[in-house]
Amino acid sequence: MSNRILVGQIVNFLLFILLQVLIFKNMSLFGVAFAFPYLVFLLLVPLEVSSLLMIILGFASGLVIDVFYDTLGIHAAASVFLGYVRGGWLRIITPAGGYETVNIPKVQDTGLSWFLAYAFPLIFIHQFSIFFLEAGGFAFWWTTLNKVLWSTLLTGIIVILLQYLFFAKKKL
Amino acid sequence: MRTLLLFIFRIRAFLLFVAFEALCFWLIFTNNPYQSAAFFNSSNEMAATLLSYSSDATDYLNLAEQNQILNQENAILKAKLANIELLSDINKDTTILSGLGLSDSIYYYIPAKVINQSLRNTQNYLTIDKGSNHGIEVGMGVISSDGVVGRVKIVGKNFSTITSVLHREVLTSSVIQSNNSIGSVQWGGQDPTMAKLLYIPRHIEVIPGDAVVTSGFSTVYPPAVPVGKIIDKEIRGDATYYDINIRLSTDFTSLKWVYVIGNRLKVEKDSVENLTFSISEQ
Repeated sequence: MSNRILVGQIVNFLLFILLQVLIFKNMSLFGVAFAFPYLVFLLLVPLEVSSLLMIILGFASGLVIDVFYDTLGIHAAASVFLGYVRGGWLRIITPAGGYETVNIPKVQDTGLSWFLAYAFPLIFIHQFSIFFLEAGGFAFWWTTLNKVLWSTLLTGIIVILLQYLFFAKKKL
Repeated sequence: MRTLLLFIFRIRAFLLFVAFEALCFWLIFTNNPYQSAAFFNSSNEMAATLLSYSSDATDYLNLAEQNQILNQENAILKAKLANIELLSDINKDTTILSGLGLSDSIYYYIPAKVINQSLRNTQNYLTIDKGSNHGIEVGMGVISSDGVVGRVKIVGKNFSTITSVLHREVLTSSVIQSNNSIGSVQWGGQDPTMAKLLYIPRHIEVIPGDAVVTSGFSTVYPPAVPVGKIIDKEIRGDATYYDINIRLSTDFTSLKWVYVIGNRLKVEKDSVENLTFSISEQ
């Protein structure tokens, strides 16, 4: 991994975690939809990064979010889960020839439809873990599922918009 | 042996995943009120300093509203003060009211600013900008100008975390003001403006609109701090207790300033009560 990519990842980590805890933490739509744009950082880790490192990155970013949300362990658990399944999911949706030009899967470089297929299932399992862990089980099944679905939608949209806002298209 | 090592190597990601998830679940389930956990929450100095900068920046947006709230509170306090002065004029000869001087009253109030708050979880917490340096201790009650807010969970040097009344495991000892029947207020887990009043037996007459206030039996809150107003009641066929919904007095959505309440007699009261229990057990 080149130094430039490493610096970019560190900047991403700081930028999206600050955005999360200073702005998006105070935001919710109708009490059911919450946005977790710190997932931009986890989703845009270069494709070459191994599952092992992804798990550690998920744990680190989740733990920082937990400190600010006072939900010790919940975001960390969800992000570790996301980090673990990302590798497998990428293998499933990778086209036969592999990726030649894309390393960081930004929506501008991968195309919207690929990014939707890549990001939404991952965001969904992340939100699912967060809200059911936070509710302490499946006692409020429908209310919690409602939160999960709307938050997945909102987070997905914001994750895509933020990429158009902060990143330029890669020059080929 | 070699195949075993190869196998472990092949599933290394899975093993790391399981190890980290185990760690996370351990953190979730042992998230306890003691100092060992104090680093990983929002009263940790670094996180709290960042949050207080953010709070300072957004304070300007609702100055007018906060001024109005303070003004209203001043008006109420002035009215109360006038009553006390009137009483002390009447009872000049007696010493009954000489104990009302602020310096030796039982409760003391530490004002604090809310710098971080959650509303939409099933367990909600607040962070305030006062800590052990300002005399805050674990277990102290926290109120706003409108009513109860919660109690102190974790104390850092300059910041503390408060367990909000909007937390499903918090029970607030309360009474219905009109007939002094004792119950407990518990949050339902969803709507931050509503809660439930539990353990009011069916022979009590419950009137919607009545005020529910703190009982003062625990050393956390002084007596008669507003908790909420009764909205509706229901009693099922053979139930012992009413199902009562109350609207909380504190508007958690616009909470900015709170008071942490110290009780000068807490230690004495608790030790006397513990002594009583230990004697009755013998």
